[in-house]
Amino acid sequence: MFNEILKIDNLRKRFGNVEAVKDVNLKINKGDVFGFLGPNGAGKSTTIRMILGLVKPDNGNVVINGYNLKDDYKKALNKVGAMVETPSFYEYMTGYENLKLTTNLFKNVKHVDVLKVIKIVGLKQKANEKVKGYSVGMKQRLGIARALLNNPELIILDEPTSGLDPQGKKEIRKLITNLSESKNITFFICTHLLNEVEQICNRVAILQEGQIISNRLLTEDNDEKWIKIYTNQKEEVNKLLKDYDGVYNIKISDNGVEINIESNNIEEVNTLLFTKNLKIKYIVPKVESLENYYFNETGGKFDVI
Amino acid sequence: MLFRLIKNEFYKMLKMKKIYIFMLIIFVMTIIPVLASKFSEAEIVMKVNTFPLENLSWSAEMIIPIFIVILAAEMITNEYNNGTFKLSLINSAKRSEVLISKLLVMITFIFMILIFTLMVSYISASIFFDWGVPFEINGHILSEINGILYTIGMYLLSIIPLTAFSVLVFYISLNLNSPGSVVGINIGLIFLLSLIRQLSASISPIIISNYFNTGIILNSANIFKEVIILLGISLIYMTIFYSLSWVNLKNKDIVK
Repeated sequence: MFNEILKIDNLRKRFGNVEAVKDVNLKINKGDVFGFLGPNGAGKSTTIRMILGLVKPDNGNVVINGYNLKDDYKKALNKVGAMVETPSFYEYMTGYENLKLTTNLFKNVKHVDVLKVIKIVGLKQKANEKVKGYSVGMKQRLGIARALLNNPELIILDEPTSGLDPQGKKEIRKLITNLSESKNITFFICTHLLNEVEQICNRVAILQEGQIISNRLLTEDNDEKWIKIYTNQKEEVNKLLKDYDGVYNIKISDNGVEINIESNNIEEVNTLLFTKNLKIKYIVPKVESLENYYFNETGGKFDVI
Repeated sequence: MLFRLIKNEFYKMLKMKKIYIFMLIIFVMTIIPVLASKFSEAEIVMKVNTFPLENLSWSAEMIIPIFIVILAAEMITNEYNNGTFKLSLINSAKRSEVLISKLLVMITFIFMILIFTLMVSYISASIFFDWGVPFEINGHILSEINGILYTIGMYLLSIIPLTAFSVLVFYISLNLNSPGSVVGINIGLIFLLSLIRQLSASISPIIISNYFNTGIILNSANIFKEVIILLGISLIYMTIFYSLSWVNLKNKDIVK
């Protein structure tokens, strides 16, 4: 049984002269709350749209739950809920009626499920009011309710707290955490907000100018560590470890090589480096705040809010 | 999935005020000449037998095409702009299914509007006028019931060229980003087609709006031939513009 719910291989998209997404590779495991972080215009929304089949990639594959989006479009999206950018609704209809439209598209989703998701997102009192009278926060909640309707295993949210006041942001974050824990839903959250990722995500990838520049776990009790290998033989170490199983990320820094590695592989890597006669000065675990990490990764090109 | 999408399109359409406004316009535009004829001092003779076909000429040639344009702008361009077009797509509906469902609902709308026009025409005329002289086709006088059947037939036949026009409007709607442009350009197109028909007798047979008013077919010496031409031209329009719409939608990046 595969644990990967979403796999993106070499995804590329160009709009005219602008290369919006450049060979993006990602793997998301079941149960992850994945933060897809990047400044405005980095290509996050384009990537999301390619995952959902709304934008045709120039190259690459999207595999959801084992189904390739190109070949098994329906099966791939069957257990996916999504809210893309500002959630859009038929404003002349009520919140309930808008959800009913989504319910109609699925065989196994019933009236009672609509009531259930309305309750989950706390819109019970407003469900029968027209959406045109909803605040931004209520629309975001309704968008999340819609994404929940088909009992999804993966929910993709694009800037879920955009336009919300601090209290609204807190409530949405709490809602995502609750859903992740209680229903084991995998979340793919696209945002430009550092603190949002830090508070709710267990894994994060940074996208800058269409490229993934980093992909790492955030939780303290994770099985992956960032370690720094201090060596003068940076190229040799890089060559040796870049395709090594269990090494997720590798980058050459000033006085060595930094790798993101599964904890139980550290010893093996140590042995490997030794057997290849590479001169290693130290191997040191790397600990830094998320904010510092991002600034280092992006070269300070981030809007931290 | 197709059935579910059609159900949703209907649900949306019936929730729109526009549909009821269209019906009100048809009602008013039908009733005004009836009342004017009844109460004016001028000698205008209206008969129940002929009034529905007279009414079809202006409704099918002018009013219904404008409704089609407004509805297509709502169903395609406005939905795309508002971001609601993608909702079915991210819930596993195929683009082809979305396009077909919208087209089928448009055809149903045309059918409903035509039936409504027919009913309002018969009811309003029968309240104020008598049935008058029966239908005459190629020298043959028809019974009242056959006259009604021919009238219904012509109403139903006009669905076909109007559907072909809808496919053309769908194609234009898919290519424009603003509902205002869709309405403006398509209404301009309706008038342009009408002008071309009047200016050039040789081109008019390939102009789709030439076939909207099916009532005039009954004046032809060879009704069968006229119907075949109507079906042929409509089919050509449908094939060309449906194919173009499908290619456009298939390759379109949904960025809103």
